[in-house]
Amino acid sequence: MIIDHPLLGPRDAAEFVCLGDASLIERPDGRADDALEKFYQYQFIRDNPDGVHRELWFHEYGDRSWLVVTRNTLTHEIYNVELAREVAREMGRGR
Amino acid sequence: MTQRFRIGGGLVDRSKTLRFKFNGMSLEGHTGDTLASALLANGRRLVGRSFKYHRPRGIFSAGPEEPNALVTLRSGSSAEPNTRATTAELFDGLAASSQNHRLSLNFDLMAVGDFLSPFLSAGFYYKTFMWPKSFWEKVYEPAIRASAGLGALSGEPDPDIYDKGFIHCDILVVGAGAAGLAAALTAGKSGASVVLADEDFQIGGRLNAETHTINGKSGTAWARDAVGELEAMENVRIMPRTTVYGSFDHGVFGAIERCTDHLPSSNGRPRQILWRIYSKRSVLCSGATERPIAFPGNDRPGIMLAASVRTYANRYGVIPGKRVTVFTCCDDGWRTASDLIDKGVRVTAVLDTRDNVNFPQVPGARVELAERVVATRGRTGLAGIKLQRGDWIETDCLAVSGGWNPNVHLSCHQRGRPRWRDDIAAFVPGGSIPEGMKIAGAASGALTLSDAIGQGRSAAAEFASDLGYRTEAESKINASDEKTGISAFWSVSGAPGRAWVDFQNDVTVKDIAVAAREGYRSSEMLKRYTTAGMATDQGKTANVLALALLAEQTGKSVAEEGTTIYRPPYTAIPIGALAGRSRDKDFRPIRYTPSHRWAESQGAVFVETGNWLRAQWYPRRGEAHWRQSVDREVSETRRSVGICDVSTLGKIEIFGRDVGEFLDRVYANTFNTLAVGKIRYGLMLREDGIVYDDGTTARLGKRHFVMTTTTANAALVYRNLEFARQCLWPDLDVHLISATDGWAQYSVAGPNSRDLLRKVVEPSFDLSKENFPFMACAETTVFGGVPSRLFRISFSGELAYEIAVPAKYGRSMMERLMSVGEEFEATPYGTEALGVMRVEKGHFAGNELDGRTTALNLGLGRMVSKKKDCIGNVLSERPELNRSDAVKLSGFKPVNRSGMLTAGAHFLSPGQDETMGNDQGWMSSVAYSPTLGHSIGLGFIARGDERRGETVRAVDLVRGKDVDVEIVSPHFYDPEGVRQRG
Amino acid sequence: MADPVLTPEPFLGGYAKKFKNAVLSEATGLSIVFVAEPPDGREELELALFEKFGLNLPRPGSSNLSANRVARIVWLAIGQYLILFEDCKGPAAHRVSAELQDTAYVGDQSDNWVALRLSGAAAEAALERICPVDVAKCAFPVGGVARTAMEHLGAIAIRESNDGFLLLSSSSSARSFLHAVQTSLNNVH
Repeated sequence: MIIDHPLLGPRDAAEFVCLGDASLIERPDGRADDALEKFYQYQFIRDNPDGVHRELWFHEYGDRSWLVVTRNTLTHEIYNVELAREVAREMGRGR
Repeated sequence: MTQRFRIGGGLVDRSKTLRFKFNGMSLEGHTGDTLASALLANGRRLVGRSFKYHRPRGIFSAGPEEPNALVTLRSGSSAEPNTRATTAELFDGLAASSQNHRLSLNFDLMAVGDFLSPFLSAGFYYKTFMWPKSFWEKVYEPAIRASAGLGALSGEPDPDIYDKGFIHCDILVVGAGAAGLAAALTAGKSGASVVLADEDFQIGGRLNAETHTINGKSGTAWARDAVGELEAMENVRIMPRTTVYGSFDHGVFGAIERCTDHLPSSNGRPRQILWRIYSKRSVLCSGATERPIAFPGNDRPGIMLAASVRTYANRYGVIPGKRVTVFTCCDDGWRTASDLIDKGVRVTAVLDTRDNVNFPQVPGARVELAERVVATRGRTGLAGIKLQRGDWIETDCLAVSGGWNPNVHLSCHQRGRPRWRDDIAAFVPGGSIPEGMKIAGAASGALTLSDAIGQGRSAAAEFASDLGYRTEAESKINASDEKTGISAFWSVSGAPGRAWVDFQNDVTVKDIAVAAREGYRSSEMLKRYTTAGMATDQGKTANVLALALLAEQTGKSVAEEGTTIYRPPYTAIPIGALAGRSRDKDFRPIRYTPSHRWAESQGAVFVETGNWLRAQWYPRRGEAHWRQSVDREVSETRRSVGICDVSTLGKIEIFGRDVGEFLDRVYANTFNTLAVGKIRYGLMLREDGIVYDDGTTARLGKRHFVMTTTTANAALVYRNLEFARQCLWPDLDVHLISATDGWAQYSVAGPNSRDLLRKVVEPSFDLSKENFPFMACAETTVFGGVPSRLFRISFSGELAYEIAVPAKYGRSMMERLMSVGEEFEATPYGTEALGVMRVEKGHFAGNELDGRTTALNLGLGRMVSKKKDCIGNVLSERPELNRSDAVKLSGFKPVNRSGMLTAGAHFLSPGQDETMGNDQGWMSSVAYSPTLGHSIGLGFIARGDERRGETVRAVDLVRGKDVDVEIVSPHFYDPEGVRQRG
Repeated sequence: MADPVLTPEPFLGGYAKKFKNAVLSEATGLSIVFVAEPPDGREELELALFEKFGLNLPRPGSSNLSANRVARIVWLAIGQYLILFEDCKGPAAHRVSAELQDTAYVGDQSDNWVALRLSGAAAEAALERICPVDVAKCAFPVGGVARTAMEHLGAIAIRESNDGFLLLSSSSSARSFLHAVQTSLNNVH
């Protein structure tokens, strides 16, 4: 597979490590009242879609950036590759 | 009598004679021959035995589709079994031998299987060896194993070297026949970067095998000119002897280049190179493969594919027989007759299954329409064929054509499913063809030369302009537009005798009928039940025939029956090529610590930890057992001072304004209160609450920290820290950079360590307990100015320091530490002594952090701060992880002090049965403590902290041990920590 | 003390060898400094780097040479760079830190890396055997930087000239990395 890195262009997937569902960015607040339930959902309950899936990939042998790769799990077609940091900020994550 | 079947013409160089051996017999051929063409030139028709029945078999084709002529090439450690004689390029001194027979090729003991064939029908494995059950291991399996296998490996290490590589191009053209050359020319002229790969050593594909003309030139001459033109283009790379074997995601292709297989010796060069080709677009010009017709006795040597017969005549100047007959159901078969007659070869008869054919002149040949072959004769070679009308024709070579199958393989590798085209009676590429691929020429079902060239050009032109290159209108090509009429004909029915479908796996028409009758009525099931198409040739000549016969059986059309699809590789890839350089010592990289060579000079014994080599212990003269060395290293360190290379620990430099806050979130315990010049021990949890790593972090400056990780988890911790900083808290001001390799770091441990270091660090640096207490850190210099980092931490429980210098000073540093340490009798110690001392001290390590243990289990429950939100603290609160009977890290001593403990033992109460239900925990680490004089262990046992003094059994069923042990504190040595704080 | 100074030892002992159509040698005089941007600090860092070292911040996948050619700044990651100094006297990181003050976070990386210089007509062909990134001149011009995996080792390739590359890899596996490049050179003969 080839991942089109937003800064570095097309790179072989062998340079990357795949973590899984991009929803891992949305870490709940650990101090909320229902934190245990939220973390249970966050950590253990994930979709496994046959089709479009947003995944976290780490450019371990490259610039060490975390990427959000939108990929079709059936055809392996890649629709979009974004810097996870930007995605996280768009989701409202900051400090 | 040499080469009595050689005629004039062709592309072999008659001025160069090559000598070779087949089954020990010396023969001659020419440059440009394959082993098969040279064998045929010498009249060798019988070249092997079939897999199941050991039937005598001859050369069937002239290409990679060959099912029969598999030979072992070369000998000894270089021997390569299952080489297709039809693709093996002849070289001087080549030695080949036939396979699959005991005694000689002509008289094969195993051919007895042929007489037993009535019992060896489809699915015979499943049926025959079922009963009696007790026979399987003792009788059936050994018998099957003895007869199984195709060829034999040498059993010796492969003496050749192999390599891998990466090629990038705009357009990959697979196959260099008419379509491929046309595509490469168009693409090359546009300026696009082009790779043109072909499995043959002679570029041109069937242009070299036919007698077509292009623009008045012979096909061969046109191909030669095209190659010349392409070679002059800098943006074009021509790769002969290169098989593109797989099409993978996003334009990635696998290819194998056979660099030296055609030479007597590799001469130190890689024998084969496995290439990964990254293409933006690809044009598949893989041509087509002729298919046979099934009829009784169709496997005798001398029966061949019709186009292959004329390939031998046209390209190699070899005739496979002197009285040739043709059996066809399509116009193409007639071309074999015409070409041979033109070369003066006697063609005895042409039989066409069709009743209405507008056929060419075939002077001297008997022509029979609506006719078929119903029987053949000849023991080890064809002697005659019997017609349906009853008469026999004497012939030594029968050329058979059942039509052409486009080579769709690479179009299927991403689940493209070929579709049936009735007009050419063949499957063509269909379904999801790999993105960015076009198929041109015979591979797409365009079976005429002019179509092939036109398609190759237009595919390349379209792709070139897609990629922003300009193409110009090309001159018109004048190429023959040959007849391609066909009326599909699969097998001769109603005649007695076995008709073969898959020659390599010995599958017959009857086997397919049996399979269908027994309910194996889908193509996928048929394949598995009969093994049709599952041999090393992957059914290149058999698959479509088998499917068509199944369709006949099930009453469907071939289109309805559909086809199985193909997986990579297109042809077999040697394991050696897949391994490439990754063998023996080079299987993976080796990491050395900066003072590795010093340790070597001391005779250290090394242990692999991940990719690292670490000194395990340093044997001294007179020490016969590793325990003697390790016991000494521990005792000497505790008595005076020891030095251990700890450079392998992961080191991560962390910079920024928010590092304290960041560390608070990635460590379970508090860090933002850490002062400059101080170190804190930290525990790292996974988000699910399990401990996965631990280490220390030192604050060297206001905005500069250095984290250490365990050797094994350095990369993982780094990845997780990057995740936290980029994905979880993207606006924290934190930068990370790994510095593991940058520093040579040594633990200097023992009561005399401070005195030793006073001779090392700059004299102005105050090492006193007051100025530089336990868990202090500083940047200083050593030995007159070399920059250094000093950490007062202890893993051994002794007064200890870790001192780091830039890696390139590592060896010199170790030598100097040892020489200034002489007055203290400083002892180097290895990872084994390190491990003993950490068990004595009750520190947990990798054995304890096994992916199941929480801070609570480790006795550090209170370290997990409840005042902040850090990774893992919420889920560490899960009730199941906090049960009152949770296992707790404890120490264990054998009640009988001379007893030895084993790691992996499970704890049971006295008298309890050894069942899972009674299991109370496990022993994770053990050591012999020279300090205490007996074996000690660390382990986890339910409520261990409340049960100190209790005796339980440590039962190790694997090693057959059952030892009574006392539960004690895990801190066997100096539990108050007086020594390390001293 | 009789022998007060420690002796530095190049990771590959100062290896240098001529191959057919290529030369491979260990670059032993290189100092490597890590430089990172504080938040919203790019402009200040850019100014300081230019003023103090004559360096322009490089774009992703590239590097810039200083006007006097003694320093090269290499893009490493967002907001992170390596500065490579040839034959620097004294600890380069201290100097950079002193010059850049608060405009950057600075760390010494010199000993983290082994550096090989590969040059000659066969250089590209040799890299083709181990480097998955396209190093052809048209795709990878002078100054180009690619951090990737070669033979399971992390590595940074920098094109220094038309036929010359600087290769950086972890110093602990220096011998394996050298072996990988040597093997490639032997195999392309």
